[in-house]
Amino acid sequence: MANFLRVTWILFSAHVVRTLRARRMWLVAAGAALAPLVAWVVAQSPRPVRGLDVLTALGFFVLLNLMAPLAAVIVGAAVLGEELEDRTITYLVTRPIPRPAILVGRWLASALVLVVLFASSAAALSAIAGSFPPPSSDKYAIPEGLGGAVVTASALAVLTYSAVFAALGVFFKHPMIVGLGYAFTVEGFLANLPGKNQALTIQYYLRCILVSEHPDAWRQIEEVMPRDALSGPEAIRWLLGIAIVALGVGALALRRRQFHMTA
Amino acid sequence: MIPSTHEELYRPFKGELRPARWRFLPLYRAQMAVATKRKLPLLILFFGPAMTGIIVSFMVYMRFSLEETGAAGPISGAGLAAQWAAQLLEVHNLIIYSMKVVRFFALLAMAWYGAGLICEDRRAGAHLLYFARPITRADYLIAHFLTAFTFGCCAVLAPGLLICLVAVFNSPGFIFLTEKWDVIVATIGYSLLFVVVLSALILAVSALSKRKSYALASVFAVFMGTIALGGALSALMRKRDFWMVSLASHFERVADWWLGASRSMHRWDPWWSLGVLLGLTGIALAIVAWRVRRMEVVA
Amino acid sequence: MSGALIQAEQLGRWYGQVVGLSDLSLEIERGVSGLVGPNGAGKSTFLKLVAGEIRASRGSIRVLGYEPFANAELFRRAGFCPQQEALYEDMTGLEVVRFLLRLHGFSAGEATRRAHEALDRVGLTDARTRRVGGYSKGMRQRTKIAQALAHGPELIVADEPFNGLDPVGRAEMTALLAELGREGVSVLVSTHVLHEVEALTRQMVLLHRGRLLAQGSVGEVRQLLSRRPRRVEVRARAPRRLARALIELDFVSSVQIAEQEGRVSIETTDLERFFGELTPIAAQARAGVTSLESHDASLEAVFDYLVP
Repeated sequence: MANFLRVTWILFSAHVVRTLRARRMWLVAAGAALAPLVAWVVAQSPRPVRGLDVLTALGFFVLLNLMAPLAAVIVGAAVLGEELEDRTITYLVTRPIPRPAILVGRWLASALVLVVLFASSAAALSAIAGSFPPPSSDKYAIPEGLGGAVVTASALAVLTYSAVFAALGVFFKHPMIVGLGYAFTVEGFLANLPGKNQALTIQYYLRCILVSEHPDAWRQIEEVMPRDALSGPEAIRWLLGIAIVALGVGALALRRRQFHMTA
Repeated sequence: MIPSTHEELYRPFKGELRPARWRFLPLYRAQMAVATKRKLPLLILFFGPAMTGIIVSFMVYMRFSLEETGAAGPISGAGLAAQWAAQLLEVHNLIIYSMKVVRFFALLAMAWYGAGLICEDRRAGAHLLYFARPITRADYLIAHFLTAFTFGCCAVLAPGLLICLVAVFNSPGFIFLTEKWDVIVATIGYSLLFVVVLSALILAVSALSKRKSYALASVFAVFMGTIALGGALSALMRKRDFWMVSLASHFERVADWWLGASRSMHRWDPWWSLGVLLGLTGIALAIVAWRVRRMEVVA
Repeated sequence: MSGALIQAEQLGRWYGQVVGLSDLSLEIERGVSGLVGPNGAGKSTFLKLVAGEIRASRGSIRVLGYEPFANAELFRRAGFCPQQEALYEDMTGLEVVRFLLRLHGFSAGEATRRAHEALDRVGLTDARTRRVGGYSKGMRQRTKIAQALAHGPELIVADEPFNGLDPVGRAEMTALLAELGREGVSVLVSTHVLHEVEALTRQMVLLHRGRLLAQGSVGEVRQLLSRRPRRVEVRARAPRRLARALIELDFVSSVQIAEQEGRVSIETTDLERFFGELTPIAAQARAGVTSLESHDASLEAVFDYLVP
């Protein structure tokens, strides 16, 4: 175990630096910045816009529905995919290290960067939404704790999605393509159909975090919201569970995986 | 000072190329051969367009044949004309519907086959082999463009043409051809516009990306991101014109305009959409040309 | 230490329909050994099996007494230099070697010291702080060797380490590998160029189309090869006179003349003696020899002869 933790730490620290240097991070950072940027643009408009609408619409549609899965696909799929595409995995699998540490260490680095980016983005969005003029009725005021829920959901979104896509890298040659297909086709279909099938998607648990505490705030986008929402802590436990299971399955498969690199 | 390890000399090509008009063809053929080598992606990506084409064609066929056989007694000339007009309108609407449905599948197919065209060449150094032969930058660009274009045509134009052909041959007295020939022309025109614009955009993203997977993700980010942005802005500002941010909305506006849709979600002047799409194509092709030009010098 | 370095029993490995290695049984002793074969012979597959990167489809292999696939104990005692040029492009040479050493369990300080030592040893002293992305092919090869030897392994497995090196670089690489051999490190090197192995070791394994063709010392393999007639092409102003003189020699098995081209093709069973005798015979016959070529000295031609 000590060896596993030591190697995980070495891989984590090396990969954090490499992730920050990577050009794909520009794309991810731009994606994360989109929601607060749009909120800021809207704030400059002379039209009367409610802060609550800004937070819910941008937080849900742009940040959680689109940018979080997209960023997680780009960064998560690169956890192993990058080593495979660059054909450098040979150097790691011929070292005296527990192979699961390769997945876990590199994923932790990616997840840390993503969580920081998306939590900051959600926090900035909440702050900008809070700066809008107070609405005429309390009904449209931003409820206390809603911003926190958006931040939590955003952080957990990238954490869970990236774990799933990182694990896909163990099984598929092109994890990013499989991930894109999963996030925008499978989840896009299952999460937006009414019924229990929603529970098969990560989006469902993220939506539960948002809806459970402040159901009134999300009325505008009610049609895609879960009817029998789990409580916030339950949803968080589910998301963390999904991430751990995905990584566990990936790590187990990685132990016996062969990597045939050609010249 | 870091000593240089070696020197590279590049000399401009001073000879004369053998006059051959279609120098891009071998490269195009090779790209297509490589792309179609693996059958599973072909099957997955073209299943949607193929099924759309077949199902809508069948619906068109049923529309005409059921009405023909379903007539119980003698029908007056005016009644027949009204029935035909109704049939033609329904078929027209089916064609508009099919064009909108295949759009997403076409994006998937074109992105899959087009995203890696330039970046993977650069990654593997394959462009050095191409440019060591009498292939100009324009040939290289045309060959790559045609590859993405071909897959786009298979996904959009082929189902559209299939539906139109079924409509022509099943309509009584070929009235679909005589009365609705403009729909056929518009279907071809819109399909070509869609494919040309997307081919150029995908090639530009490929030229700017390091890997196929990043290019693919970027194409999705551009397409889906602008939809999300347009939707969010129009909802927040309560103004539908904010959908102009979305690339998909511009395609939709042009489709509604050219195909003569009776209702359109968007109200802005369609010339704007056409201008935006052609402008984007121009910018995308300029980016590709600039990147391809750099590829010749920097290995 | 006793026992064979590598033991393979009916080893086979295939990739779908393609056979990479077939029914290979051999033992490789400690020391420096060369794995020789033309492209596609199965050298890389064998080395990947030795390095524990892939598993055998059938049969067994043991390296330093271990089953190699994903075996941490073996990886502690062995270093692998893969064929692919790939390295961490955004790191410097020093960072690459240090990072990989850290994975071996060395402390940061020790890893840095060893990385410097290894890079000095392969001649990358000046370039160690430059990004690998800017390295030439030769520098990449050196970095790959440096990471393979930095942790002080008993066995170094190098897949085509001479690729991309200029003649000076090849000589330096040969000297380095030979020096490692003298230090007691076992080295297994693959190449498709016969003379590169000859310069490095007396022990070689010849593979062809996934099968073992020959194994032994260079002398033994040479002896095997010498039984085969070799072809020499001589161009002369008087080819017929030259042919008449050469056919008399007992080690010349056939002579063909293309008079218009002034070419004589000779098959000889003793190339060395033939070259020794050619000059006086050509002078005596006043043949006017203008050029001399031995076409089938390539390894591919040798394999063609050896494969039944």
